[in-house]
Amino acid sequence: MAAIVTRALSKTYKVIGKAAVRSLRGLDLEIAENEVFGFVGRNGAGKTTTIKLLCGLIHPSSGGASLFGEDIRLREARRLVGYMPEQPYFYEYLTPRETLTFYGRLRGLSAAQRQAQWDRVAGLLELEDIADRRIRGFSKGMRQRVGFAVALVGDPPLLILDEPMSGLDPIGRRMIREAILRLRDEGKTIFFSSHVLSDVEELCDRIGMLVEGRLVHHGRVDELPGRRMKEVEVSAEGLDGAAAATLVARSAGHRQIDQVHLFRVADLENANALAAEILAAGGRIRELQPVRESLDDFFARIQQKEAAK
Amino acid sequence: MRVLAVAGNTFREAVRDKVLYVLLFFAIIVILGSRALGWISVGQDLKIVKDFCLASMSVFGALIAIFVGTSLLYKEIDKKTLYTIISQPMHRYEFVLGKYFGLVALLALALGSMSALSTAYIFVLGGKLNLVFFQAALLNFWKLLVVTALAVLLSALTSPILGAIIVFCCFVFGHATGVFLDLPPQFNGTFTKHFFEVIYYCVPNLDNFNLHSEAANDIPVSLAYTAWALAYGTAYSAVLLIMACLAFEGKDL
Amino acid sequence: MNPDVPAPPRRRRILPALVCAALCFASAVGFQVGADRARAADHGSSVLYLPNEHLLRHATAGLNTVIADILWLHCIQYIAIENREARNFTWLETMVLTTVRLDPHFKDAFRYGAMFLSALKADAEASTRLLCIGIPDNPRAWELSYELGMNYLMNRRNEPDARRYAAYYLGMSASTGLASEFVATVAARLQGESNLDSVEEDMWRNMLESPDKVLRELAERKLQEMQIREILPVLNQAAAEYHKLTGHWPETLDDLKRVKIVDKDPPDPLGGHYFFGPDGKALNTTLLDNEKKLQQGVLEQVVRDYQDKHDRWPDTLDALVKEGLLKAIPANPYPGQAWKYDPAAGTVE
Ligand SMILES: Nc1ncnc2c1ncn2[C@@H]1O[C@H](COP(=O)(O)OP(=O)(O)OP(=O)(O)O)[C@@H](O)[C@H]1O
Ligand SMILES: [Mg+2]
Repeated sequence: MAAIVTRALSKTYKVIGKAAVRSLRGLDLEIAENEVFGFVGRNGAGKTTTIKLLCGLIHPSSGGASLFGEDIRLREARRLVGYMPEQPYFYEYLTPRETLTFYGRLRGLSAAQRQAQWDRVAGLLELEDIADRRIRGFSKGMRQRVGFAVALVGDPPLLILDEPMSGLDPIGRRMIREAILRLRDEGKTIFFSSHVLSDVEELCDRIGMLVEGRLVHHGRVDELPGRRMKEVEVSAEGLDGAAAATLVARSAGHRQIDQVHLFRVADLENANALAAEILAAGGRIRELQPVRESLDDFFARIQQKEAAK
Repeated sequence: MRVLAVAGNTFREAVRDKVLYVLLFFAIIVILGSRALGWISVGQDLKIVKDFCLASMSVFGALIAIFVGTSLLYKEIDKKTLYTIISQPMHRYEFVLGKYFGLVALLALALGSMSALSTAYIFVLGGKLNLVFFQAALLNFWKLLVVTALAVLLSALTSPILGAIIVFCCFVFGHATGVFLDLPPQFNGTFTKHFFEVIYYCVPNLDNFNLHSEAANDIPVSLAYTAWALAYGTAYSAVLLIMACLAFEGKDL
Repeated sequence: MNPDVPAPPRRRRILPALVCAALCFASAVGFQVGADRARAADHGSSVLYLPNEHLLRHATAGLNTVIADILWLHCIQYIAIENREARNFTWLETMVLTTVRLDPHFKDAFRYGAMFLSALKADAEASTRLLCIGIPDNPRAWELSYELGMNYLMNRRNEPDARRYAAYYLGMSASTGLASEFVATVAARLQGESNLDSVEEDMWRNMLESPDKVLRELAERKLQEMQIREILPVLNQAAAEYHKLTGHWPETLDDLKRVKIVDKDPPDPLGGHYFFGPDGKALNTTLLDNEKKLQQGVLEQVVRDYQDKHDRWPDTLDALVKEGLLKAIPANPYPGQAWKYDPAAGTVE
């Protein structure tokens, strides 16, 4: 069964006296169980809106969605989700331990279950050393960890994380990244939004992209259609100076590191031709590597295309 | 269980916000105020002490109910602390009720302590207390149940400042609903009279809970009246709470 | 799988909630009716339906009793100051009435307010009015009916049914079972033909034990005035003897001393002196001064009423009678003296 299904999910914010904001327009999405799904888009694209809809914080203007077959408007659906908001805020006067106890009680866990949850979550997110300090004095990274911990209380099969890694230092990011991978290995489904495309690329099975409330793209990271191969880099060695000079003139770019020459050409056709010449000149091919368009460039291009429409 | 968890947390928050310091002010006002006035009065010291105790309970209780109550839900929305709470498997009304009962527990503690302090002080002064004093204190508390429910309703609808102003007006006005029945005789039989009668039954009648005069002067009040007033307070609070839950239910957070 | 669950669950919950709210509201209205009935049963009929009497109380947001206390203290201050100075007590009745409207069970405000009105302002009717407001709301307060009875006994004793009313109210006070034995005794003595003066004296003596200074001073002064009043008939007799002896009435005490009818000055503990009117009636300056102050207060009050109405002072005091504000100009208690009225300032001398 799919973990998340949305059908024509839409949200229009109406504020009296102001123009209505159509934050999300007809989102159709299906996310399989045990998948890591990355949700990207510019600021104001509607990522947070989607996530709030899925967590029952706001009500859809039209369309619907379900989590593991439970309608999102029902309480049962929320039992299956762990949610971490964009900037997790908690009662400042509580400690992380008290906070987790509180959320455990909201989920109806017994004292023993709450203790078990604490042991599991605190180990995963290294909370023990800040367990009994009030959240009031916490840094952003500490809060983020507490936020993640709260999402994990009750061991829900689906985690919805809104920009889990924003504002963290490299070590903090790595901690979250590793936690996500571990949870994936435990069989959880993870849906998260992010601006950091390298994280998305590294973690996600699939990604979806929103532009102005519309899903313009979704699919596997390595199979995104239209993601062009930019150049091919040919690495060779054993070339003498004269041969190298003629080859440099024929390629789009060249670098030399010690005895290794790196030629760049536009596409595979040219690369094959160049390789033949290198071999003919007595050289040896070390590596032939396609240079793909970076995800950032890809999104920038799509973004421009959508904006032009 | 979930309601209890939210209520406990609300209670704890208010206590850690030092709301109970109000008890200190209560003690100071009652002791200083009644001393200063009792000093020049005609053998009225004890009456004045009782008046001060009951009036201060009403005022300080109302201050807590208004200022904490009107920001109760709004603060959670504003500070986004309820994002993680509403996304838990619970009904939204459970959250509203939890907030309400947390504040009510705080008020119970505050008014209970105030009653205990008053009793002790009056005994120290050599006075004695009749049942009617405690009836008055209980009805005072019940009045605050209604005020708190109104504050919670408004905190789901408007900002705390506007809410506090409205609740304050209702507090003052709620003691004055009797004017709608005290119309001069020329209104007899007119539409205006019926109109005001309808209003009389719609506006929360807080004067029902005012037994201060009886308590200070030791005039016994029937248990039947007390029961009617308690039932009235309970029913009216329930109306306000249901409305608060409905208002909160459909809200986009 | 179909994510569009047919009936939106929110709708389903709103309806019962609204029904619940309506039911609760209906019961709230019902309970309100019940509470009104129960309260009316507690306090007799008047609590909610007496027009305007309670308007003031409504505006105090539950602070009525404290405000009543403060007002009452202010009232006491006012009495103390007025007692030393003008002795007009112009605002006394208003202040007391406001106090008891704020706190309809404020026994002592009723009791002492009535006492001050009759004893200091000599306005026995205002005193009666005040007590008549208080008694229905406070049926168990023996002090109020006692005070009303005493009021008839002392201040309205010249009215035809005074003695009957006094007996009635004192009996009412005794029947609460809370009054001291003293009240029952007085009520019993009223059935017989005993002297009213001695009843009055008993009352003031009783009040000398009051814990409050203002009340003690009042009682002391009243007892001293009673002493003076007891001397007057003795002097009247002496004057009659003098008339028999000399054929004309005495003017001063010295006249009596000269013919040895009286050998020393009778005492006036309040510092006044005695003299005789043109018909030989014995008079005392302390009592006359009291009387004069009161009458002067009444006149000036009426003059102010006139000014409120016409926006100018009356030209003469007779204008007040013509307006119907007074039945007649009260006589100046000092025989042969007339009121000096100043039409520019509206003051009476
Ligand atoms: N409560 C609201 N009332 C009115 N408009 C809103 C509200 N919340 C969000 N919006 C609008 O909805 C649109 C989408 O907002 P959303 O928060 O979903 O963006 P986002 O993709 O999460 O952006 P970011 O990357 O900055 O977090 C924005 O144009 C925003 O102005
Ligand atoms: Mg966002």
